[in-house]
Amino acid sequence: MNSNTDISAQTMFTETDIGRQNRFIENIVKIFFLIMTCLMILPLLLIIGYLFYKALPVLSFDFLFTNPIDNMRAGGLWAPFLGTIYLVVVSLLVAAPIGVFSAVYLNEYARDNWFTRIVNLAVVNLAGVPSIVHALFGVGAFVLFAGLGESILAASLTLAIMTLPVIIASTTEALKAVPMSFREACWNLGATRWQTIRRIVLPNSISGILTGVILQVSRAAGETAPIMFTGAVFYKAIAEGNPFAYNIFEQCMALSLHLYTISTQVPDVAEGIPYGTAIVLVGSVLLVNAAAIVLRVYLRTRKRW
Amino acid sequence: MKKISLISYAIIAILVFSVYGFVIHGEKQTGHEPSQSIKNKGSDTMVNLAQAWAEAYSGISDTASVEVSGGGSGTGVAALINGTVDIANCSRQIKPKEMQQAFENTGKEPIEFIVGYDALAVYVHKDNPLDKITIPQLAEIYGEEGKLKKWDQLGIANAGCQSDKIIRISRQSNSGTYFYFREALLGKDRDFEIGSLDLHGSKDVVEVIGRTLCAIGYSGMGYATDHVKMLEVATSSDMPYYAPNLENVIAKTYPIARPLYMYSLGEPTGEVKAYLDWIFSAEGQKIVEELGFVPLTSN
Amino acid sequence: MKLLHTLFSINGRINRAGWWLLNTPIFLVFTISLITFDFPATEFLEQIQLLILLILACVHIVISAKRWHDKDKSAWWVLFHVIPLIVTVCVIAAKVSSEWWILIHLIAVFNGLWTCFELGIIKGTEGDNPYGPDSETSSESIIDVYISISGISSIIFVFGIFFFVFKEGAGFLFSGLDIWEFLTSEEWYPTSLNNKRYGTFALLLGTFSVTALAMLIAVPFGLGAAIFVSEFCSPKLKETFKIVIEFLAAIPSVVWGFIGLTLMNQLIIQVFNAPIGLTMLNGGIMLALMSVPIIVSIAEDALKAVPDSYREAAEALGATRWQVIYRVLLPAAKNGLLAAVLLGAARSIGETMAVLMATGHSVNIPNSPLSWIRTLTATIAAELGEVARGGEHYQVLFIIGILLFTITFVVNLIADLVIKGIRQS
Repeated sequence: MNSNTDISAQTMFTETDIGRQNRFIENIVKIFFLIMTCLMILPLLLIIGYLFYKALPVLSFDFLFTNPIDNMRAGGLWAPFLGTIYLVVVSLLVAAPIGVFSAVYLNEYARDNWFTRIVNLAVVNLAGVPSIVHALFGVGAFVLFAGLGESILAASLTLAIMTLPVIIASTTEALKAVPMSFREACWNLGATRWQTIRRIVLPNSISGILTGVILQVSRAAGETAPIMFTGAVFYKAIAEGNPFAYNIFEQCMALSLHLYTISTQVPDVAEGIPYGTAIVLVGSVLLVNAAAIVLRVYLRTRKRW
Repeated sequence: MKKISLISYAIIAILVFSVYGFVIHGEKQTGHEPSQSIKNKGSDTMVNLAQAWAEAYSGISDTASVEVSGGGSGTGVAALINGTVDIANCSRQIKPKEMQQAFENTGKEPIEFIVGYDALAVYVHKDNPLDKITIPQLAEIYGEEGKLKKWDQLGIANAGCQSDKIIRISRQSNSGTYFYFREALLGKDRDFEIGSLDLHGSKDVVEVIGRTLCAIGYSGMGYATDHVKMLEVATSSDMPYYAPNLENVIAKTYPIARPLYMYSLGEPTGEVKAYLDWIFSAEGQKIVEELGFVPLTSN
Repeated sequence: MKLLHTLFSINGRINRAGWWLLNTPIFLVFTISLITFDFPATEFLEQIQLLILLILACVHIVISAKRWHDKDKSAWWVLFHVIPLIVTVCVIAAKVSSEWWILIHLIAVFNGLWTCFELGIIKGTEGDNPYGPDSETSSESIIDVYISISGISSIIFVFGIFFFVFKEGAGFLFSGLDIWEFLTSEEWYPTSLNNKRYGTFALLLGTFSVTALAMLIAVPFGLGAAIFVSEFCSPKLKETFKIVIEFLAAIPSVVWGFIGLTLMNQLIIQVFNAPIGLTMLNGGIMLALMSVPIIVSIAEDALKAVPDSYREAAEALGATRWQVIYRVLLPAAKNGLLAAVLLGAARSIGETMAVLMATGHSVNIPNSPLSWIRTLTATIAAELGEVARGGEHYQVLFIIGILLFTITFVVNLIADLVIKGIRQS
């Protein structure tokens, strides 16, 4: 293949000469691709700007810490916001250990054979399963079969399985980045496999693992379809300011579903409120993502190899 | 390092065993918890009403909090059959078969309460010249192989609507609203033509119509906004037309109105009974009216 | 064998970490089962639960015995904490009068704390003792078990998803559903009173047409952006672009749906003078924006994987940047780019909330980008909430789930094989 390209390239490229025209073409091409990239990025800025502009009248500290009132036509986001936190935390508690261990298995334990390939394929496919199919699974497995009913626990477990590949992918990436020589040095000192992982591999890849965990949080916070039928409710009255107001065996409100219901089902909602909800949702997700990025950049600067 | 892990083990131990202690403690107290959760589920038509009740009730009762979910009348009845809700909201009457299933499953008969009335209004854009419509006309617009496809067939010139086509806005095919509207228009043996926009919320219907000159749709009377107009409806062209409003619904002259039901499993007791009693009180019924539904006349 | 020995034989020793590693989950399971005692579960499940609890109790006793061995004591010491535990459980089960509760509570807590201290905190003897060799690394076999189980969990979950979705839908799939009609009829009348028809052709067409439209928009931009980022950017700019793309990927789908419902809806009405802005075009643009980040990141990986020697060789021959890209990079990376497009498409097919809110949700054979459509995913999302569990309609929705699972599985598999193909060559 290599030699082939070279030969055809030779006949092709000798036709043009290096000159101003080429540089002109090059610049045109560069600008063309730059425009394409910008056109892709522009919507992000426009959308956030638009949401923010529309939400401005309602945004305040109280918006986050008061309950929706007046038939959800006014008030704040306390109940859905707290519900989202519950869902995220519980799903994180389940997904983080399984995901990290799973990546450790794939990277440190598994040999390169057909079984490992199947496991890898399963991870890829788990990431590709549509969110609504995860919802069906959650209904079939957790709500009905396991008898959890529609509850925060059932919804969180569904979210955990859905977001597992996020953690596995970034942890695998991080583990791969630890040089093999580190492990070999440790083994040569007589350490066992787990001791090597515990003392050398995990500490050296903690930044990547944390990034994965943070991304899981952002993914879980934004999902709607998987929690719609497994544990999120239209409305639930809870005490304001009490962070323990939900019980994980009962249902909760969630920001994402709240945005959906107030924008399609609740009449006469004050103009800014759906936009405010959207900007809080987007804002918290992007904030969490930004945290992951900052962490990644910071830890990269103090990388020791 | 060693010291730190020992301390963390100790903390875990204390946590685990205090949970253990609390569980035993909790076992002892089962049955009289300080705050009880009333599970309320069902009809999407009623979900806003149910939510409003729940919200108002949370300010009145310290001993109960109401959990509301929508999903539709079918979901509510299904949950009632499974015994997983305390109150099911239903925009249709429960079927005898479902009644029996619930009895077989839970040993309790569902008890019916009519908590208010809902009138389905037929909406068009506020600039649409149409003012009134008959049930047979609606049937021809929505029904399978219906003949009314264009606005000029209704005898109006709908300016600003290219191609003159009537855009039908409907609801997803298993919502209580859809069922009721279909039955009111077509009886039991004809279906709606596919190809309508089957929106997922009563509000969505009105919002879309408010932006679309050529659209017609149906939704609860309480969902009206400034951008839409409610049509007067007659059962046939030689009958009088009635607007969807409180008087006409109470007088039962408006043809597309229906009662709203709540079902409990067995005679309600305790907190559930208190909640239902409050719903029937003047205060509860006031909320019905505030939300654009029709309160019970007896009050 | 080794695993069985670890869990069920009282011979040998275990260190403190091993004791905690096994016992913490056991405590958790017991706690949760106690809390969920009254949960509406089936009888079969209750029996399974009881069996699991018994096995876990055995493991707890065995592991505690090993801990005593580790401290060079006889395994009979176990009885000192197991007997009070059994008494407590019996008393709870027998529902003794309430005056005794405080005492039992105290015994349970004291017994638990003492056990944790004695077995979980005090070290065993150093070096070998009569019961076995030094226990320093004895907990590793337990860690290995956890890691292996987590490792294969993805397989379990994928099969679990298929199994449970299939289980709910299987009844109707094998008796009653005309599969040919299911796939080719456009008549979707799941709630008709006398003539129920479950034809998903219009829904399939909706899913594929909106995905195709999304790809039509996303692929040029995605690949263009990938080329720009990989070929023309300084490292710093590259980092910035990647962050922005990550942000774009992070926006929740319900927010895209909301944008489609409000902003894009009005834009389409004004720009195209369309009666309704909730159209295939609207959904397509939303899906394009959602799948672009995937396309960019995978395509960029593929371009990065092309060896620099290719670029250098071409440039040495006097090729312009454009020629390098067009004649060398794109052919060399074509498999990776194809995989990028496939994964982007898989994402669009599986997307739910955005298409539910933005496409008009109408069973309709589309004839232009401005016609409204309904997708498979949106149908499940809109109708699952209101169906009676176990009914035909409910099962059909799960069959659609199976269909979706199969479609995305196949697309992902192809993408995976395409990527594997590059690695091998």
